[in-house]
Amino acid sequence: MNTAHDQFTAQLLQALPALRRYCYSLTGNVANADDLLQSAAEKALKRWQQYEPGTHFDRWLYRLCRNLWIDQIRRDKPTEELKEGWQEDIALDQKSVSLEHEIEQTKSLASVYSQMNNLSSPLRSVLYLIAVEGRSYQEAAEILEIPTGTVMSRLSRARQQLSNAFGGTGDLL
Amino acid sequence: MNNNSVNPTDLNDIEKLSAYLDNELSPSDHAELETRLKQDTQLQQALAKLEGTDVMANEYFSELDKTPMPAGLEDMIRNAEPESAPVSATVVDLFKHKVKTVVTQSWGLASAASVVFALGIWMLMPPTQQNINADLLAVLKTQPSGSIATINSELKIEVLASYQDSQGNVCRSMIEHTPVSSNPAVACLNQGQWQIDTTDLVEKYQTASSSQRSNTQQLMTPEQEQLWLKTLAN
Repeated sequence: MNTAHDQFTAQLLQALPALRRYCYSLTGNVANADDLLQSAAEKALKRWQQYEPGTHFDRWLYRLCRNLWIDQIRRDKPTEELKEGWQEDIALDQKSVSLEHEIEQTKSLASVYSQMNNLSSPLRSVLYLIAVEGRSYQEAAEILEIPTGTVMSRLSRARQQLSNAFGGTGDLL
Repeated sequence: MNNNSVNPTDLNDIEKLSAYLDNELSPSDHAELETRLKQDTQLQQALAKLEGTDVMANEYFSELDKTPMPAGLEDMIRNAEPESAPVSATVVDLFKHKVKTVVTQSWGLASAASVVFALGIWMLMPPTQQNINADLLAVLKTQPSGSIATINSELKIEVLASYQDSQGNVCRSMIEHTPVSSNPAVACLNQGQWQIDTTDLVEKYQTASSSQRSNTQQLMTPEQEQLWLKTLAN
């Protein structure tokens, strides 16, 4: 019996639902989120001795998960250079802007879900960590390995884009 | 729209409203925004819209909980056998402060490069860690590729090759030999700090005869390595 390992697996099992939601925030797709979750769990088990008991287990897992996701993006898009997070951030933001007219005309819940899926991965993951998990900007910055100022700007952009799905007057944007 | 109203093109206003929701504004900004909110209905509406997105985000993510976990995942975790050797690249940040302190204490490092050890198996040697770190640093800074340095009766370091990675940092691939195992590792000198990586070494670590070396990594010739070691010694 390996007590430390048993404690680790118990923590991992307990963290699975939140980790899964974080994977979902990265991928925006349930199937991909579950694939990422599976990979993250396997990697965490493989590297369990690197976790220092008493430190933030969830942050350790989230960083591991995010790195896996970035690796996945790199494999899928090997010619793209990733800076500060995800380069496709820019492309998807532009895509979201192009959808504004469509979104303004639809006020249903489905359109909001659609807009959530259309958020870029960096924006959605920041939104998840802060709006859903209730983390501070500092915590989110540590997990995502970005400055707190970037957390703040990404979060406001995420909320800004989503707010259009509510059929706003356009005054805000 | 009065002068205090939210400016649709002012990202600063939107960021402030967003940060206000999270109670992340400085006290002065918080107070200023509250004053404006009392006077400006448009600003209040903008805040409400932003707040509404959080409700939607929570619904969006809670939907996921209604679908079952991937089949077999929880059983796989419960039945996992513990791996014996830790490896990771991302561990650098986690251990940076702790290990940096250890090495600084043991070396002083007045003129030498400081060391950040992202240690895998190296971390498992606490009683003599400081000496091992010092000995390892000495090996990295002095031993030519192809040499084997004896650290103690249970640990030898075999230096395989020196090369420049894609960022231009000089790296040294090596193998740590213990009585029970041999573990590859790569040490890279990055901005005056040695970083040791025991992760994903299939891709990273280089032997002098490696045929799979990345095009972005330049293997040093013995002459280049000798010159570089002399530079380090100075």
